[in-house]
Amino acid sequence: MRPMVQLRKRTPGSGVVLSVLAAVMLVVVAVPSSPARAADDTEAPRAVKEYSPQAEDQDRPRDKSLLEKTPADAAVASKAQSAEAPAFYQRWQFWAITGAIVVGAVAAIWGGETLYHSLHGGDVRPCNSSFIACAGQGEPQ
Amino acid sequence: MKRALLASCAVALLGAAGCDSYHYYDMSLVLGSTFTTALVGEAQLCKVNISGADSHEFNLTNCGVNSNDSNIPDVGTFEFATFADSGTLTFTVDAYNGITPTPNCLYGSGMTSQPASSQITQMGTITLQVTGTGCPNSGQ
Repeated sequence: MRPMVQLRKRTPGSGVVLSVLAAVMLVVVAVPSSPARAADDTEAPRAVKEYSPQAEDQDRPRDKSLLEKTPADAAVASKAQSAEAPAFYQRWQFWAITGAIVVGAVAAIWGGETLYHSLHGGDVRPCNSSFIACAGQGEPQ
Repeated sequence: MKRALLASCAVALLGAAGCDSYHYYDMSLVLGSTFTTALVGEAQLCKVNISGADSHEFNLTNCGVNSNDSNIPDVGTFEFATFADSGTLTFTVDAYNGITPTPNCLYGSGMTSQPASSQITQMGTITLQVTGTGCPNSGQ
């Protein structure tokens, strides 16, 4: 049975033509100074826009709620701050306050004892060396 | 207003605590005429007892008499310190011819009363008189 469409037979000449056409297309695409790339060279290179999440897109914020600070953000920020801040015992204010408290306590105890002692007569007067004895309040016997 | 409150609190605190001041009683101890030289030599211990506005007790070794009896009959002065400033202080001195103040060794005594006052120093005299024979063997 004969086919309805008769296949064309390739000749050596058509192969040469196809090869030349393929070579020309390759040159046009590959060479930068080709007319196809000339338009690109005259324009300023476009800045490559990096990916940024929607919440940080200040130009076109779409979801306002994403821009608002959340409690988690505050917690993270405070934790970062606390991690950077020195320990309480490394601060001079801590030692200043502690020193003031200690000095104040010692002064209060000493002052209280002195006040109590003076309210209770203070020191007994020294015993006269010509006396045969000294006794009573504040005396050893 | 705040200062007045603080001042009144301080006054109240002082009033509650009270302010004590020392008062001194310098008492001269004298051996009476009944104390012969032999009896003075027997004195081993004198016990001083204070009663009344204040109470206290202490001892005088050899009743304050020197080893060579050079300070008789005026033995010397003892000082009693107290906070008492009112009432009466009674000074009693008992002489023993033994080392331990037991009743059977008591052989002399003297007493005087002194009004307690705000005066800082008061002076008085206690005269000892022989009241008994004391211990049979002195030095026990």
